[in-house]
Amino acid sequence: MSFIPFAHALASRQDLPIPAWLFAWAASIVLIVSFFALSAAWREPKLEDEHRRPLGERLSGTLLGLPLQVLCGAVGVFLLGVAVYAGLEGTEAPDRNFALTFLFVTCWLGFPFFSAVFGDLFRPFNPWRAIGRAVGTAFTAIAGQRPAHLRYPEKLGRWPAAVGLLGVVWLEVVYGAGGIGIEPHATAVAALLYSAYTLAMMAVFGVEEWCERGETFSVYFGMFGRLGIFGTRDGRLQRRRPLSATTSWATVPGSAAVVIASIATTSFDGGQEGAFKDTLESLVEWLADIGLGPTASLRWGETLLMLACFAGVALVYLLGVRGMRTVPGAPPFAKLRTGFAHTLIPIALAYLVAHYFSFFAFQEQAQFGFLLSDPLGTGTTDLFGTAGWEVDYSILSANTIWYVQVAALVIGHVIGLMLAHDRALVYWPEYKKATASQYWMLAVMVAFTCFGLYLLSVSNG
Amino acid sequence: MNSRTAVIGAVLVVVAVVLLIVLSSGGSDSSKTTDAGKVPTIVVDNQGHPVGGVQELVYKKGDRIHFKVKVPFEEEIHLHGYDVAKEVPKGGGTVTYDLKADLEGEFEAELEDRAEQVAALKVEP
Repeated sequence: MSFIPFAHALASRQDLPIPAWLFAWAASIVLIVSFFALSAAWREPKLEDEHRRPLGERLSGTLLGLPLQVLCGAVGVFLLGVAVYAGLEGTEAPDRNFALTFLFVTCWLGFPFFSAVFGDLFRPFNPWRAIGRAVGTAFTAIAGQRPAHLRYPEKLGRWPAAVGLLGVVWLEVVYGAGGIGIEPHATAVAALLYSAYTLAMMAVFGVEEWCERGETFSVYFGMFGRLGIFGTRDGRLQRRRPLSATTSWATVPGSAAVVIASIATTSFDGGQEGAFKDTLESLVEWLADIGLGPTASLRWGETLLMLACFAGVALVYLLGVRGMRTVPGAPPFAKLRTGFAHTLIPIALAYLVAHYFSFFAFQEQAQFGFLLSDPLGTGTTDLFGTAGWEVDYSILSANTIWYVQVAALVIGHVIGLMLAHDRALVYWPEYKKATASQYWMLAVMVAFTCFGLYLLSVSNG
Repeated sequence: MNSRTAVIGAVLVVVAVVLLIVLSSGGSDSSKTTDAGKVPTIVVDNQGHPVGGVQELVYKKGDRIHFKVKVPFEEEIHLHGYDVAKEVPKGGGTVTYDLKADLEGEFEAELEDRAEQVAALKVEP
């Protein structure tokens, strides 16, 4: 039985495992950097205040004005429509159909990568938000009053988004296992079902409320957007201190689950052909022995492994939080659990970059080459004269990829430590206690970073 | 810096040095390059599976990628990444790949119609 991971079904090339010497150097750098972070960190919180500086009124007015919002929303709706149409009507060859690359590569990876620099870029292009707002505006015009909504249950928080995140990765990675990968038609149907569900939830709870808490893509991309330097407040575009917007992100219940799910799903996808391969094969064999069919045992095996990854990442984080609780003057466990969740965002981004950056670089050549000109992949259209383009795998050498992967993990580690230290100074104004609490978070960060390096160092079997 | 931090720092540095020594000592020899003098042959059985499992062929950039695939039925063998496809005629036969390893990475050779991987080619820098 063969495993066909998603990236494998699209790209014809996979990364080589990082060599042992690079693994050793990177792990050593992580440990030494961590030591310096402990000994040379600042003594007052610096990131709790975003230090917002409004951009020029004219620029802000143009970028946030109604015409551009309508245009961006329309672009989002149009592109979602193209992806769904391509999925339903185009070829079933995953690498030749616009739908898969657009939804699972260009959007799923592109928005986190670019939002982490510039701020949340998905919000203006969110097709469901655009439709919801348009319908709300039309309703208000016709009925003469704003649509009424139910109050969103506070305890539900971002849990729907966390479950949705696991669901998206399950669809992408697990559902297509055992075949040629997830099929474009199934992806299009899933997109339609998700659209119906999202619009229904927006009707019940309100567009902005659902985007802020329940809508998977808004929450997920918005989480990475908090790392970026631009944001909006009071209808004005503002520049803010890098990283500072993350400190207020995790106050909504379920936020920790979202960032944990991000790390877990990337780990699962990165390890299923390498570090977890033997475990997965044993699990699948056992499931087949107890009577499940080949496809069912593969899907159940991968599902269980993905959930185990989620549990494992959660356990490491909660152990760190539990450890901090032992430091005198510590806030309650629940407050610590919520209060440090944002420190995992850079780790989650580092995992994404390390595992998918080369895949993204290669597959975007397909996106803006032959997939743009021949979205259905039928070989009969050439809209922009680029249908004959192929992916150039020589643009990134193995060395470049290795260094980017390692650099991403080390930088993510350092930023995670910075955020954790800064938050510790809020909870323990006494510097010594704050530092003592950070031995625990340092252990968590070292564990995640070295685990990330380990995943990259294991050969794909 | 207090004494506790110093002790932890010292422990971390020792661990780092040990890691460097242990992992670097066996590092660069972890994979062996496919012997250029022999031409590996991958034999596919009647069920379409490679005999002995998926073979790993390791090359250095600039080497010649040289291997054969023996298949007992009509098929198309596709070396992904390099994008070289070869047809096995009706009744089966052997196809030979002989090309320069100019792209780094891991690439799959597969029976295209059955989507069955028969070899994993690794081209190292």
